[in-house]
Amino acid sequence: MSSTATAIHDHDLHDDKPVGFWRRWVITTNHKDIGTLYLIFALVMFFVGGAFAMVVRAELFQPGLQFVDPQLFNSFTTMHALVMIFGAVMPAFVGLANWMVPMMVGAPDMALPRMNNWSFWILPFAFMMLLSTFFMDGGAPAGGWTMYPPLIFQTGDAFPFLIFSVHLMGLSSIMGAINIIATIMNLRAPGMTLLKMPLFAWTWLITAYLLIAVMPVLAGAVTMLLTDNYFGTTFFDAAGGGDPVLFQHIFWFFGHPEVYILILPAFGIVSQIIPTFARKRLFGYEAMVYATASIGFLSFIVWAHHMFTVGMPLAGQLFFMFVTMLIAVPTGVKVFNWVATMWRGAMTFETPMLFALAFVIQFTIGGFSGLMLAIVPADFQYHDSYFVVAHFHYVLMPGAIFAIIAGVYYWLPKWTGYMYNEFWGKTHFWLSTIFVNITFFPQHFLGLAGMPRRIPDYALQFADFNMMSSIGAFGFGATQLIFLGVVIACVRGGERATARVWEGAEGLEWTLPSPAPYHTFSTPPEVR
Amino acid sequence: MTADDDRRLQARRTAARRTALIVAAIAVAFYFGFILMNHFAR
Repeated sequence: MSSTATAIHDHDLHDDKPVGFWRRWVITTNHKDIGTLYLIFALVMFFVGGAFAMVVRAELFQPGLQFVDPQLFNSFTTMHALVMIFGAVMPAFVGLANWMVPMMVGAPDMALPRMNNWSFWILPFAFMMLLSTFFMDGGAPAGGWTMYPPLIFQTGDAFPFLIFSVHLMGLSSIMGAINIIATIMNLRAPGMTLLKMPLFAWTWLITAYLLIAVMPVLAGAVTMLLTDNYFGTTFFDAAGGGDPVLFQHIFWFFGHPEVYILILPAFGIVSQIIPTFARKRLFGYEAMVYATASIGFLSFIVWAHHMFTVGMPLAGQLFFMFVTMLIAVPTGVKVFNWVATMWRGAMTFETPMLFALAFVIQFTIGGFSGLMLAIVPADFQYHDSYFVVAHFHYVLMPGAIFAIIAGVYYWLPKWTGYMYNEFWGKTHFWLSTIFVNITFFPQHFLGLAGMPRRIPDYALQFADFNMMSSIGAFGFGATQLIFLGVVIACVRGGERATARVWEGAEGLEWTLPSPAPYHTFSTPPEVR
Repeated sequence: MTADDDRRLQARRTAARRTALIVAAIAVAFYFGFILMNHFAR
């Protein structure tokens, strides 16, 4: 369990921020400023990706074609996924890591501050390039975020822009991961042993290793797409001796660990929040660490459950089915430990805790539907249906995004020095929870009834649930404006936050004043 | 921050740069190794 530090030396809490926009934000090497940049970028991308989702749900509000043609619809679904995964969720976690990991482990900054700046500033260019494809001949990529060949080769002028922007996103993620590994392995305060680190730092360390292992695979896969399209190679072309199914194997060898890249830091955030508001130590700290590592390991050997229907030997089907189900064991350990932490705790229900609790319940719903999809004969029925859409949105939206929001509410007073408005925070929580379930729960029924995913029009029998889902989506989208308002209001002022902020909070970051000074832990704290 | 603290921090930063180089080398090796493996496995 994370431990506490002794006295902080006042003369180490420098607040000499650089003057001017260029020096403060563009060429900054400060982990807190870069964390803020990442978080602002993620929020912008969250609204951009959300706007794409609104178009998709508006089109699906009723049967028939209303607003966009099928090609543009496919572009919106593709870009929604790319923007949300690579532009919103991943940068949000990196932003939270930038802000919190150095403070949690008692480091003065990230290990490689200049590279930290570079890994952020690549991102806006990558996404400007990706989003500009909407205005190109042939439109934006429309073959799905999975970029399966040969379909992806139908992309027009956008193709090389898609490939290059994915390369840049990968490069940014790899540099971010290198920084986190080097910071945690080499810059921990004396006495901060690995098994004293807060769970958020642990989950990020394992996430960083996953990123190092799989981002080069994604980059390699899209490089091979590029060479197939422009340089005459035939990696994925059956006519030249290649195999399009090979791409699916490669993509999902990246894609499944990517799912855990999107959820492990969320586990870390929730593992920080629940003990604070239950006023108890995290139950089974070491089991949580080992469970996270187990999930990380298993994520490498389950990829083919995404592609049971392409055909594979029975032994392969059985292997991937059973190993996928095995992931439920460490995940179950985590859910059990969160519940056990709350058991007989002196619980209070401030906004971060509400989002964390909703995470536990709703992520578990997504986990259970994942188990259903792991069953090979059942998957043959569910594959490419709205059941899959419901499943992964439960994991990512009321799962990962709720955890990010919980983390923002939890640490916002530490960042700004002010408390956020609890009434509006709770309003944001309740409306989000209601609308997110109205949006995604009916999609299970749509999938089970046979509605395929990635279609702009559908049979009349699916109309009611689709209308319900769209109303939920519009409500959820509008509710996020409350979040924006709460964050902006908190940055501008409010009730002063204390250093510890939350009564039950423990760890080095809470020994610092609020707002956290610009430079912290220049002298390493003493960890007992 | 004392001179001693500064020296210790510099040593840790040097170690961190070494860690970063090793991890970066692994990532680059994965990238090229993966493409070459797919090329020669045909």
